[in-house]
Amino acid sequence: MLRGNLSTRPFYNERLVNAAIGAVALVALLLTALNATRIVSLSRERAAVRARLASSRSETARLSGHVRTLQQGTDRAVLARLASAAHEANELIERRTFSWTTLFTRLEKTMPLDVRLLSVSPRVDKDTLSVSMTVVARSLDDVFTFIDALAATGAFYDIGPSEQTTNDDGTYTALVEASYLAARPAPPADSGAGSLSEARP
Amino acid sequence: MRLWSRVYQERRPVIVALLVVLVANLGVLLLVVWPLASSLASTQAEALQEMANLGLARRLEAQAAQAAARRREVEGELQHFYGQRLPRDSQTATRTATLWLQRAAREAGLEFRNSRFDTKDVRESHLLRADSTVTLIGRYGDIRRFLTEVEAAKEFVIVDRVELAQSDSTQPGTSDRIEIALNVSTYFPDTPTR
Repeated sequence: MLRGNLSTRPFYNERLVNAAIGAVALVALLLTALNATRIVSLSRERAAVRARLASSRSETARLSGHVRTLQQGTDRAVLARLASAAHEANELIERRTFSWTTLFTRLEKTMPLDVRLLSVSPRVDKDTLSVSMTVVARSLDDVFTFIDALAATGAFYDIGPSEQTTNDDGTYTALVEASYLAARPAPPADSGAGSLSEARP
Repeated sequence: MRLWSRVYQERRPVIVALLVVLVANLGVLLLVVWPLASSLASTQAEALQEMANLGLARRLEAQAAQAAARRREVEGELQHFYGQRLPRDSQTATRTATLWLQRAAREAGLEFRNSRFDTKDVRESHLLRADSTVTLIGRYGDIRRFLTEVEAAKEFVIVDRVELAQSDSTQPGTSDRIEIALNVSTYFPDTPTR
């Protein structure tokens, strides 16, 4: 049986070839469309992000400039000066609002009959109010009775006689120092009472 | 001629055109789309960083604005304190620490004995201190009333020390006349205000 094909242009399945070329053309078309879509969407997105970035940078620069302007008026030296002035003013107000009436009322209630008050002076030191009292007593026991009575009020603490002297007449002069929890009275009108805010550097 | 060669020869324009399109698409993918996506990712990262910077700048601005407002508040309070509460100058301070105290003592029923007045600089401050030592004589109750009036007065007078002179009986609460020495002070700006 003769199996050779003697035709110079034998037939082949052209439909199959056309279908393959068509499929490749479709893939090329889809790929082109995909690329074009991606380019457009990426470009748009990048433009939007760049616009946001530029806006953020501009806003950051504006805020930084504003901060510099604000800080020029509140540099450390200015704040330190203000803090010092406010502290001084508060200390003066603290001393001004010290209630001698309350202190004398407490002393009247606590002082034994054989103890006599010679002098009294309050002192504000590092936010602690201290009171120094010089008293004359017939005996040291009277001084300590006075100290115990002061402690019992709850308004005095760290109480102690820092100096004691025996007088010619047999009495004792003692310097009694105590930290004092002063009950702050209601600030009188226009008396300068009421503390100031503290500026912190 | 083999079959594939014959198909190629017969449809070369179409096949070449398709190959060119495919290669061009590959080129666009490699040279445009991927770099663009990469650029977008880095721009987004940059934008995120910038958003963080912006948040930080907003916080700093808020803190600086708060500090500035606080400074203005403290300056205002200090100005009010120096201008409205303290004696405005040396003359006013002198009058407050001497004449006003004497008048207040007289009104409280105390007898004025003597006074000494002095002005001092206050270290590291633009305030000056006016000190006065006043000696008064009277009954204990009058002294209490005088101190209460000084506490309630609008004048900025600080009673620094109270000394009770020895007498027959200076026990607080008794009605005998006693001598009282007061150390009082007031403060005023070294440059007159108002």
